[in-house]
Amino acid sequence: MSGQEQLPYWERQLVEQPLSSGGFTSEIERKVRERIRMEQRNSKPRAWIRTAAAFTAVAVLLGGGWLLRDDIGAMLEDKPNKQSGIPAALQNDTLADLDVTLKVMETEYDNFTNMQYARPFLLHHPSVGIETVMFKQDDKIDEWTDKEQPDVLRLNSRQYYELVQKGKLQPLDALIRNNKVDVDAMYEPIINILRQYGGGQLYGLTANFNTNVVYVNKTLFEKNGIPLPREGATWEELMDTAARFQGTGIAGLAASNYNDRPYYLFDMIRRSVGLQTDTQGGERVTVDSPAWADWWQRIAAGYQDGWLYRDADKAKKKGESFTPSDAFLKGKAAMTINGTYYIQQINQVWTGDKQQEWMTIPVPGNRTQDLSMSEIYAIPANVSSEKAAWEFVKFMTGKEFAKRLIGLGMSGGVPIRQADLSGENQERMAAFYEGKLELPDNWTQYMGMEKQSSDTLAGKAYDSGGALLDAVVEGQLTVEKALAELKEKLEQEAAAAKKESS
Amino acid sequence: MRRGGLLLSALLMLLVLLGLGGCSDEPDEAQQPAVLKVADTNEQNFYRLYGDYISAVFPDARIELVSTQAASDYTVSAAERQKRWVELVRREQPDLIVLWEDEIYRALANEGLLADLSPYMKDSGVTQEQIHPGVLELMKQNRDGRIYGMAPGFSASQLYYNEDMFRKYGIDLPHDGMTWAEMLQLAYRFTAADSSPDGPIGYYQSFMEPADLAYSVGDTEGMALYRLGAGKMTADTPAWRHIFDTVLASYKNGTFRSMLPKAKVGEDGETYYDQQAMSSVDLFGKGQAAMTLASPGQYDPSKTKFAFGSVNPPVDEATRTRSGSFYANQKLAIRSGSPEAKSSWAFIQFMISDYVAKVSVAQQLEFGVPSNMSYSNYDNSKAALYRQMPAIQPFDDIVSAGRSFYEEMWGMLRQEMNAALADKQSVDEMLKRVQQQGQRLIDESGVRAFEQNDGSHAD
Repeated sequence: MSGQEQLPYWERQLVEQPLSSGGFTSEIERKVRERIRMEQRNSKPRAWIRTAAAFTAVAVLLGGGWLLRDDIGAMLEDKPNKQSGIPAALQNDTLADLDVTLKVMETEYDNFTNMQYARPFLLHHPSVGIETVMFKQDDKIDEWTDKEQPDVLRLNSRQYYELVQKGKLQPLDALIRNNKVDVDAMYEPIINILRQYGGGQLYGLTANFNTNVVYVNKTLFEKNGIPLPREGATWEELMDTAARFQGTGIAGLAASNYNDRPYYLFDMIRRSVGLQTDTQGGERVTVDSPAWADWWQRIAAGYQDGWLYRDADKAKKKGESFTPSDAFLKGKAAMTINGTYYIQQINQVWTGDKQQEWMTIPVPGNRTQDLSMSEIYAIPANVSSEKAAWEFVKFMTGKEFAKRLIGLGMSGGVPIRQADLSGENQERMAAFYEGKLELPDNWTQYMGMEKQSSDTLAGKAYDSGGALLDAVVEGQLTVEKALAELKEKLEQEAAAAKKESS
Repeated sequence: MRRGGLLLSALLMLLVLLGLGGCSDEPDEAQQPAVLKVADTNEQNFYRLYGDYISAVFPDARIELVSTQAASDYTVSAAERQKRWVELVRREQPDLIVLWEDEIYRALANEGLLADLSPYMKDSGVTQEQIHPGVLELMKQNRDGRIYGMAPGFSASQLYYNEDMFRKYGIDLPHDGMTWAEMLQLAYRFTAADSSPDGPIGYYQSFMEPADLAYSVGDTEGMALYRLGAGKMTADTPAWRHIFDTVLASYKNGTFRSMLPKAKVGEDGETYYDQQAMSSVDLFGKGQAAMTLASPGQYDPSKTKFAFGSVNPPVDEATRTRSGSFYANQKLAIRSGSPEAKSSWAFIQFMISDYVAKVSVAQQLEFGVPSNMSYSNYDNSKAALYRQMPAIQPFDDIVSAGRSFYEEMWGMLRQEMNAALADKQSVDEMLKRVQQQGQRLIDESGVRAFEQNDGSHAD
């Protein structure tokens, strides 16, 4: 190449040095040839332009040489460029200059450590250290946060609400806006709920959420000539659909895969349609309402007629049975209600010749009753390494980490961005993103920070009501009598509780 | 023209500098695949082992997973498994192949289905010196002796020793490069120092019986008791005699004792050892045995009540460099002829890069330590692993028999060794009987010579 002999020694070295394989040298050649062609096209550039250009070029060279002195120095020392070996996607690490260790909250049944949650983040930001701090079951989140001084929290809804109320979390809306985080791509009801918890502001983001859906075995429906339930089916419609399986030898619905007690189903239904055990802090017990009676009637009939699944052997026993065999997976029930983790189980059991066609529809009523979030990422108010903490929060609730959560089976919940699902999952999991998911009007009383005023006897009702509903199913009591007994019992409980507190 | 020449060269330098500033090694934007077809057991396995890395490197790529689960069915014969894999690769045409089993790697390599990685390595400036020589040796274990796949990580063991016990009895600490015979002699010195019933045990391995120890020594020396591919029992040799002599002598002089924890029989009729029973035999962990073989990092200084150290495990007598339990079976390979060979290589290159090695200090690979030699600079505690070489095992003996065959064979061996231990027969007699019975078992079991996957017949 002409003019090369006029280059000083170090420049010649640079030109001759193969900077990298894969076409870099040819890239230069191409650009140079282009320049030559351009020069020739411009045929007779004016002398002063040429001089100016030459000076500019030299100035840029000197400037550029100074700016890139590290790279050039490394090159001369025959060491690899410090950026070499790093894929393009991992260059420009925004946290590269920080020498920081993030303290991240971990809980006892967490997968954070054993599944190496921090690894993908560290691949992007290798200079950041990640340490975990254990939050134990009996710890109180407020005191614990003050004591342990974590940089990143991973909270459930109640903890999130409490810390927001106490002003212990950093508001994130400004960060979200400035960093153009795609909140609009996230499932809106969840974001709305987080905002509601935060009095309108977002103080946390979550990568996933947990709620139940109705799993439907299409193959069994088809076999028995029964039309599938529709997507927006109410509880009444769902029960009607289940009832159609009477006489087929298969139950229409198994309320859960670990609890086949009648009251369990009733409790699920009543909470999602807003039936309360009591109001005014227990002053008025409302279990003998027509709505209660209707549901007890229908549910009892279902278990009596066999279209609601109950494990035959254990039907005689009282009390919870925690080990019924999974009726849905064994083809003994056409529908069941379960959370996200159940998909993995289905995929494990229904393979090869055991394969069944299945789909999901949303659980009727308000799904917030079964909503749980356990990994709301938040930043404490007085954190020192805010930049790194925010990058971590953003990453862990981002699209890249979602790939891993989805790839590993989503046992922790459905991804916050429905669009991250692909293929079969998209259709099968649509129900998780459908149906009503809104906080009820009296939601604050369930957050553990104020005294509950309604449904205060729910626990007692579960115990006593459970036995009474069993008796109705056995034919030992009428619904009327059973509910009257339940009312009496709960009124006694309420009176006793009032006495104690006074 | 001098000014023009100066201008041109100045512009050239400018471009060089601009190029330097934006210089990036593979993979760059041009090499991001839109879709990458990956063959692995299933999606979950892939995301557990490699997903994080591939998402980091190819954030916009869609990964299409081809499941190899059915092909890897362990209830069918090895020959059938290899056949299924070959068919799967030919039919589904994955770009990147995740391999778990050496036998499958060899089968695919010998069928010409995998790309030779050497040219890719050369183009990318990845020299063989940058990779653990033991790993490279294992990669070349195929008919052509070429690198048809790369194990990003390898696993190897360490010989742990209880420093307090050695000091207490004034016995020299173990060191790298000891043979089994030497290590057992060292272990014997504890028995010699104190042979009371509660005395120290020089060397102890959970669940181990005399036959297991003999097998381990033979494994290190590159010896096999049988070559199924040839249909031959190979026990009656001077080399095996030497090993059995050593092992039996160690048992007889009380060097160590073997013990099986209480077994439970589960609902499905399977025998299993519960957690409590298993931890009850970790005599090293309990501070009652002076040496044991274990994975690196298995013992945590903060959780043991004694000072301990580790050296490389026993080595072969011939070269003093090779140890058993050195595995590099988790491999990545590129299907020969894949249109995404370049991006597949870019991913493999990333997995063996200094970058990943460095990050692996804080966040481990799921399958051992990085094959990249530079890792020992980042994590000195694992440096010894980079001085190990794998024991040589005849890898063309790729026939595997059914479970009952192994149970019978090892049951017979156990019986014969126990008889020798009880002085009911000499080692010579034992060897003859083992040879005879073993050969009969092989002949009767139907594990016949079969057509090796390069078309030749073993005989």
